Amino acid sequence: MDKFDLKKLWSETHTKTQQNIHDDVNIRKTLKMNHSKTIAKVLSDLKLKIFGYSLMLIILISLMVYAWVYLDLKLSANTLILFSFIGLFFIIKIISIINRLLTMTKTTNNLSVKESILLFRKKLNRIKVIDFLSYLIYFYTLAIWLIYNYINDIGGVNNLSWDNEIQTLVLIAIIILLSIPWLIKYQHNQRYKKLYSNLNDSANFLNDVT
Amino acid sequence: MEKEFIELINKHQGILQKICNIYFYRNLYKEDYHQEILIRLWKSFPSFKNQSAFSTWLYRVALNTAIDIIRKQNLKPIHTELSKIEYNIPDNENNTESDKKDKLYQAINHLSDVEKAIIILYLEDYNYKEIAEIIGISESYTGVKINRIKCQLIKILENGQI
Repeated sequence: MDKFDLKKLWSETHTKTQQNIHDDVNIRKTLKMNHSKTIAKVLSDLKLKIFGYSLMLIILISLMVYAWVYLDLKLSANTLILFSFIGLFFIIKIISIINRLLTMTKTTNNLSVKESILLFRKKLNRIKVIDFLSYLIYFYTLAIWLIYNYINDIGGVNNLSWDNEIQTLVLIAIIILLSIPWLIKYQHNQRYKKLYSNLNDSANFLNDVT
Repeated sequence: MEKEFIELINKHQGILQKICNIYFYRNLYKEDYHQEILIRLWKSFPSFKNQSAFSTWLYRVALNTAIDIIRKQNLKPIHTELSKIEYNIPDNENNTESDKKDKLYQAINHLSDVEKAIIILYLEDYNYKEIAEIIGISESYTGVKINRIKCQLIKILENGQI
């Protein structure tokens, strides 16, 4: 143990590193920036996605208004519901990305390291829950709507038959719709597996039991 | 305020360099992250109320920012696995300062983000009370953790195994 006096080793290796790597001009320039290049790139990518989905939402709403008001088309309730579902999907995506952007931009610099870790974990969990619930409600409603329409089309539950090929396709579509939220949840867990594991390890490590 | 901040930063540039070396060791974007920490320090500067030493406040914000950058970029500092021979620091003093430094940073790089925060504060001679305050744990627990991290670090330096 005595072979490595860590403090001595540390001070010995840092005796010649006190020269300033940034001069006053550079510091002044940096202070005028909002973020460094790498972080700014991540944030601008998220903003671009928000812009893209918002644009698609606006185009969709404009098309609906154009068809309804200017062309005076009598759109059926089903068509309107379908367009609403598409619009709702864009809204869910926009909310989800805004949530991520807020998590990226809000800082917890003045908190202790432990508080900041716990807060970040809470935020990440909130994103996961909001994403999952939004998609769960969305795709389950879509599945119910599909079932309702199909039963209406075939003239009632009594006409359900396994010989019907379309019914198999509808059934597959429904299974896909019902499984999407769970797949998204699984994907989230896989994507952030390392991050969750680091956060949990850090939180456990700092879990003061004394 | 800007002038005061720049003066303080110039005086404590070494701290920023050490934090960047510890968290972004051999990372291509080290300079960029150094810049980000500087920006966050500047944004948080109005909250510095001289209740603690500037260096203590700087450590708190800079450590939080460094850990935050790693989390948000979802990346870990790139570290290269070394062989046992490479880890061993020979008893003779043929090593140059940079070799020693490199080995020390390589060893520290094997610690978790929180362990790194604790060990840098310890190595910089902060007392248990100050470390406990920055990290957010009790003083007695800080002692326990420091001893554990020190043992871990020495073990890595001795034979390259955790």
